[in-house]
Amino acid sequence: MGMDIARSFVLTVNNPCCSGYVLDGYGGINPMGPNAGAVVAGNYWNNLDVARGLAVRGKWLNYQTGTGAYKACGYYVELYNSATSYSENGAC
Amino acid sequence: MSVISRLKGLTSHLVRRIRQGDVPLSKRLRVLSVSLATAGALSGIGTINVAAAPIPVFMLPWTANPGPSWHDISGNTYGCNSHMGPDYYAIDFGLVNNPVASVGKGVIYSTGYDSVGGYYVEIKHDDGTYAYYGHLSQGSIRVSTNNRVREGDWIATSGQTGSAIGPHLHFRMTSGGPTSTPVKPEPMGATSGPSTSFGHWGYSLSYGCLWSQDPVGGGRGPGYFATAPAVAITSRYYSGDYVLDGYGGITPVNGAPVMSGGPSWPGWNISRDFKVCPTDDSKGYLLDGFGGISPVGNATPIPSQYRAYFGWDIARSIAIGWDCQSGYTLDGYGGIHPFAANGVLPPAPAPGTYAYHQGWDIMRSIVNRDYFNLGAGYVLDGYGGINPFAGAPAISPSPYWGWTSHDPLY
Repeated sequence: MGMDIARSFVLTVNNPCCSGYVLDGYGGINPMGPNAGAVVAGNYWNNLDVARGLAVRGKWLNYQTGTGAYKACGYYVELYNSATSYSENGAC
Repeated sequence: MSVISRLKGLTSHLVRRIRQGDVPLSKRLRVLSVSLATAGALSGIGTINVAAAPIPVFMLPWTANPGPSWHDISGNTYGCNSHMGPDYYAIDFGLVNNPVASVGKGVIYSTGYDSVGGYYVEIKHDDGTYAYYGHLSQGSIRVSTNNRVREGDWIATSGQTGSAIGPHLHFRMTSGGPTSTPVKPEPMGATSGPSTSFGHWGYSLSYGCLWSQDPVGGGRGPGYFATAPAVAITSRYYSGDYVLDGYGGITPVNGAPVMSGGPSWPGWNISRDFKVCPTDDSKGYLLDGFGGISPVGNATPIPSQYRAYFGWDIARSIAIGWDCQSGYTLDGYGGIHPFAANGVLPPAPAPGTYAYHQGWDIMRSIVNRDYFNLGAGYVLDGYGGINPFAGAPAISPSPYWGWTSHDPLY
């Protein structure tokens, strides 16, 4: 039995394609793709399906033409409107 | 056209099928099998224990836009005075002619009147619990038996009908039936201040006859109760973010300027997604559940013929192209619908090149593959599957939380 718990996602790197993050309902920020590093996030609501939206700043990163050092950061929001920050390896 | 107007036109559109949904079952099966195979290969990444069911969480039982909003608990709290039996955990909120909102998703179990509770609404939530809202104002009930409601939906107005000393909302939750086992209604949504961490009432409610008690604690000061459910967040490129609530409210956070001009549906949790344009922070588009695309800020309106109109709440996500006037909307079944302000539509994915599950509202979000070209991208399903469309390459690894047998088709 699976679990319908994925809520939102973002792409942060599109060249080479593709990497980003998936937000689960508990507030977990889950890397996807080869170039998404681990993130540090502010809140995780264990077993509470309250996380709803995920956003990223400086998305569409191009590792081939960019500096390669740019990391993603942004915010996610839960049901009650609190925005929580996350960042990849301390970026932003 | 407002969502309300579109709702009034429901009779002429209710049975309209989702565009691009008319693909043969055999083709849908083939798409699903590819999706399953892909997703299965990507399993084991997530951190969630799929055996642990989520703990239900609820909104507060009144509607308001995000911001300071508070109401006394006017006396009878847990186990006090008449609050016994199924009402043991009932709460009297000091609401006076306030819109009363459903605390959770569910179905209207009954509405009616009795000499004690006055006009009332009972809701059976999807998790099996029941909620009772009593002493409602005469003529104010906005729902009928078997109606579906979401958390935050405006169901009635508070009043003083039945046996009530002063106007208030009598609210209780039970399990096993509408008058069976009392349920403590916690956690229930509240934040202890703007942009702070999620809390449950601010603290656990005390037992006993405590008058004029405020859920936040510390007396009767204002609390910051987020009674409009948040549904999405989007970022400006350099700084600032916007939180979209279900009523269409767009709240700037982290230094973003106010973005005006959007729609507003107080008490109706019908907004689904909002995205700021990737190349112009001053504009964006808001998607409602019926497929309507509302311009926000100085965005160009989308002509009605280029908007996917479903006639029911099934639109889920929106992706905007670099030109800030075209993009895609996603419906819950996986249908992908191009739109454009100038009539120059991005290419529609060919049937069979994207995941689609007729009758199963399982798709959550859509993003473009590329900044400049709208021809391909990805769709997230509820299980963490990243489903490419129109030839976008697969993404690996990715989180994945299994599949389910709940699909009505398989």
